[in-house]
Amino acid sequence: MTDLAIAQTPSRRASVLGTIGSLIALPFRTWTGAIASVIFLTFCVIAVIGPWIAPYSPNANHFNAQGELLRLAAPSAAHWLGTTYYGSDVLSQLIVGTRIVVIVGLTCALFITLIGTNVGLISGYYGGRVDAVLMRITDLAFGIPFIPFAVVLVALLAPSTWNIILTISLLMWRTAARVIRSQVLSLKQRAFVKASQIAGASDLRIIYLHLFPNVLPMTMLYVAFDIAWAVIAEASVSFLGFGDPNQMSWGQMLYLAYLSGAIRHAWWWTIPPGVCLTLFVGSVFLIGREFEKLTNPKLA
Amino acid sequence: MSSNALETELTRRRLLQFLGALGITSVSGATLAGLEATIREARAQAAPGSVMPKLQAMSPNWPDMIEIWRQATRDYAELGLEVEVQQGTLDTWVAQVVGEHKLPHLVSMSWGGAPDRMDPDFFLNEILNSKRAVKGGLNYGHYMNPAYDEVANAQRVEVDEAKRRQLVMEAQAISAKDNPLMVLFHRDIIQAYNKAKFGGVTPIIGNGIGFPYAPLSYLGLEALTPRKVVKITSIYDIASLNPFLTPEVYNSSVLRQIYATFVTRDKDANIMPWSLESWTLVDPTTMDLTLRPGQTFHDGKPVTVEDVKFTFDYILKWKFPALARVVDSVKSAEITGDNTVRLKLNQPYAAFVPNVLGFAFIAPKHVWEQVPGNSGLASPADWPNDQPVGSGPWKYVEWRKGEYLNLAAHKEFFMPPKLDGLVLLPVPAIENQIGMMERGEADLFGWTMDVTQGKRLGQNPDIEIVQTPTHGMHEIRFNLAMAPMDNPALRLALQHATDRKKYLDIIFSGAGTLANNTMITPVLKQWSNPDVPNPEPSIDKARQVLKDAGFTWDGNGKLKLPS
Amino acid sequence: MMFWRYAGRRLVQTVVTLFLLLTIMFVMFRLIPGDPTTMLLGTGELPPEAQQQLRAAWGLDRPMWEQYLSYLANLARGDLGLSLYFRRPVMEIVLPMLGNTLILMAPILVIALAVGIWAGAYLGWHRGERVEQIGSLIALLPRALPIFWIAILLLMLFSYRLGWFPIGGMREQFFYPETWIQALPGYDLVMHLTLPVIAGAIYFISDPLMITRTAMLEVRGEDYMQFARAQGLSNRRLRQIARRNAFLPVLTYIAIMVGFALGGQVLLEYVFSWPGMGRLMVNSVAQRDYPVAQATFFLMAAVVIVLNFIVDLLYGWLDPRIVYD
Repeated sequence: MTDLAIAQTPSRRASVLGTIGSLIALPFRTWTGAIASVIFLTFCVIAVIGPWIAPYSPNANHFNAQGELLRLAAPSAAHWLGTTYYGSDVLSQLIVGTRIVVIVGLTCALFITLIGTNVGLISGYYGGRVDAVLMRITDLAFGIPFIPFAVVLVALLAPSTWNIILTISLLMWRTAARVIRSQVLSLKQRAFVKASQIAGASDLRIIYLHLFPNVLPMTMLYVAFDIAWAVIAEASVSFLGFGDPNQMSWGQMLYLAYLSGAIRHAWWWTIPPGVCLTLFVGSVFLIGREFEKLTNPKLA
Repeated sequence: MSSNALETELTRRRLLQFLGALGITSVSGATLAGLEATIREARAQAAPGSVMPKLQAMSPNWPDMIEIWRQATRDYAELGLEVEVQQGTLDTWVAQVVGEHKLPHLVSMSWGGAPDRMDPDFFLNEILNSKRAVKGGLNYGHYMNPAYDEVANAQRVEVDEAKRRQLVMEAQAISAKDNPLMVLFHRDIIQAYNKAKFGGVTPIIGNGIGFPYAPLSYLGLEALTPRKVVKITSIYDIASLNPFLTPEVYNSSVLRQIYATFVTRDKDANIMPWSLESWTLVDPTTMDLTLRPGQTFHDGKPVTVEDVKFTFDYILKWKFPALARVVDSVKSAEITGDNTVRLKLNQPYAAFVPNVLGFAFIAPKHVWEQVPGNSGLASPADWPNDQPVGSGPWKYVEWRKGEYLNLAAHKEFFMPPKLDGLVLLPVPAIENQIGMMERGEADLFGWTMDVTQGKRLGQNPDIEIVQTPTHGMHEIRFNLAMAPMDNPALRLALQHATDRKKYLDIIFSGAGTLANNTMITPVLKQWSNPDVPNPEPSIDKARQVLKDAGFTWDGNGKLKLPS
Repeated sequence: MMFWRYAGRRLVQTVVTLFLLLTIMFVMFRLIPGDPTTMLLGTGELPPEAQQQLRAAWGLDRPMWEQYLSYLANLARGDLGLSLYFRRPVMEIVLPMLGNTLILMAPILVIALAVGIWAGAYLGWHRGERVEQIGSLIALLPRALPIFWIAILLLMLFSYRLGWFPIGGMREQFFYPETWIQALPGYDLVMHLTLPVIAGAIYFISDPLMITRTAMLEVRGEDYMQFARAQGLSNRRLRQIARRNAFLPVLTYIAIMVGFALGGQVLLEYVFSWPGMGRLMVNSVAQRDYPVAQATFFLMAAVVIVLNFIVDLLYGWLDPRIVYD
């Protein structure tokens, strides 16, 4: 939710593709960024191949040699992270749950950025009445508390991953919109924008060909933040029991662990999902920090 | 519809929901459209000879329910059946399933052991009678069998207990043949108390030791330390102190500690006199009540037959929805002596004593005759009743919403509490309740935990765990109004494919009673029909049943409907 | 003059936004399937016929526009209506919960802001040094921790394992002090507050910290700082100037943060069984208690919107460089 002021050298020749290319290589410039990128990519890979590398089916009930259910069994050679209340393998759930976390993070980031950037660009570029209306809508979005709103939307629509993505996207674009608007406000005073206007370029052309490449680093920064917020938001909603029951996620694991009373005793069920969340979100933040340096060279 | 077309349909539905959510006004339209689409889809797919549609299920989002469906999904897959589960919070579930009767093929629910469910009438009539197959009724599976209705209605008005028992057994036999639902098990209540600080605990069937449903269970409590106030946990808080306002079970049960009912249940769950000394059924629609002499209200005024008559008149005058059972069954109340009141009933009602006299209470005339007065309130149900005055064993001291309800002993009650007071603590998370028990912040665990939690808590030398059977139940309901669930062979096959013992063992460590093919628990021996066992759990049997009914399987092992 | 015209225009916009919000809230909750009476059907205690009667008694059977108009009319008289679940005036329900939330959130905000701004300014000033590099890494960590998980870890360690603090709730009933420390006034409340406040402070600390740090870095690069340094001002004095100028972006954020704080932290309240606004909001939605849900959501949003409005005006007052158009 950082409202960053922006200073960077705007250039008329900035091309979208070129910028993206250099942005991808960016996080590897520092060792923190590199480590974070490796962690992030590892989670992404697990998300894709998870079901094949998980040692067991995530919901299978495991029994011991005497045929008793392995209820809340401590970590062992067969179950590296122990078992859940219903005797399922924690590690397998953790691995399989990665997919939904990554999907929610990336999809939400896409939606949020799409809405946020466009609102920011349009609001900043046109100014006046358009700006006033869009910014008051942004105010409204800021005024609505996320979790209670998520509860309302889940009551309206059924709990599903798709609806959670929708809820997160509907609210979280607000910060990006505000920050990008303020950047556009300063950009549009620059000579190259004035020049294009005089040359008779259409508004859309100016917005998407001249302004957009210049706010792209800032947008990327928000993509990183949005992934992080979205993942935490999904976990929070799932933790309260409003998650998608058909999809294993880390938040869902914590919900079941908490309700089953594992928080006192079965640390192997409570700690790993939280650690994974922290690692994933933390890595995204660190990558974001590298973009922050780009958008604001004073930070470097 | 091919699986591709189904995909398209699903995508369309999601798109609809997405577009709907963008424009707030169209959201609810989209939801309903979405659900209707599911239902329509399901109907369209049940064409003869086609591959069985994916069975849609709806369930509350509780861990036990989630696990039930994980098991069921796996078991039914062996029959070549796919199940897709949709879960929601309890309120969504109630709004859609009960409120709107909008439900997919299968719906799961668990019913707690509320006191009025002890009488077979609740399960027989509320859940399976066709008159409740209307929006708002609990027969959302739309089981319609005139032969069943006839028997179920007959037992309701049969005041001869032996004859009624016959009818109750017969009703269970009919429904067991039709398989309108799968009763899984009756989960035990597991509660705990601090034996270093309190003794005299009385477990009651269906109530355990900590629920407020049976007032008797708190009265025997004795303090073993100087603190003569017991602290009881609950996941709920009450909503109001007004006994005329809410029909919600927890709220009304707690208020019945303050407002004594006419009868109550003893430790074997038999009816016992409470505010009444005795009652006689003069004829099927006339009942004489004899008030227990010497009772007083909490403000010191005596309880008289005037108050009894006043309370009935008051309820009939205002027709409080919360007391609908009284309004529906009682026609009038007349004073017939110093201690006697004669009630006229609208029709004979077999469960009148437990369900009406065990639920109605005595309100002091001198307080309520001035309500609503000129307060501007539309109904006395809206009266805040900040200082409730009743004649029950506990009197009101203080209520802090979300924190505690503090009650003190009414020593003049005919069976006075041995303690000085009790405090009800609403703690929404069960784990926190257990923690409070362990740390001595609470003395009596007033909700229910599972075996593992009980075992762990029981390691504490001060804590005693008490396990009590209940008449509550876990069930999966078939939506008979939706093809292919109207096919009796399919329902029987699913019964065969459901291994109840396995479910009970995995989910509740076996702490409970396996259900017969009836909602009435075998624990209530006088009402439960022992001759309706569940179809034997066997996938082979299930397949045989399906084969005999003309079902086939395609090359991928997917079940196909009979052509 | 420019300023007043701007302020006037913003005021009108704010009022319109609030009115829109009111309307959206009114419609939104009524669109959720089920109404307050439906929730009573689930147990079979309320027969369907009695439900219809109850809906009529509570005015829920009237057309929505009619309900909306009477809601507005009552609101104009300052009457927020009766909670449908508790059957009491809405304010009687909301105010105590708001109070509880403030008891919880005030210390969290004070700690998070004080420590966050101080640490952020420190890190920003020591840019490039080792302490800043490590400090910034550590400061990022709490952002990556889900608040409910922090809360669970604290409970696991300090309540269940060590037994130092209570499990939850706001106070213990019939608390009997055993030592003189326990007899101190407010001891019980402080014990119940400690863990949730720590969890909340950890969660809330990183935003003010990061914002102050960034702002500080920026300010350091500004021309006027170079100028001040050239004048030979002491390091302490320089830092003071920088801190004051770095405060502006932090101010914007405080507005948002106070708003969030008022709404309570549902997750924090849930894990620690704290009876506050956040849980009231969630419960009122579940109970379809329209008047309470509307009041709490509106209160929360209105605070943010009004604070934003004030901050916008303050901004112009604090930073003379801002131009109004």
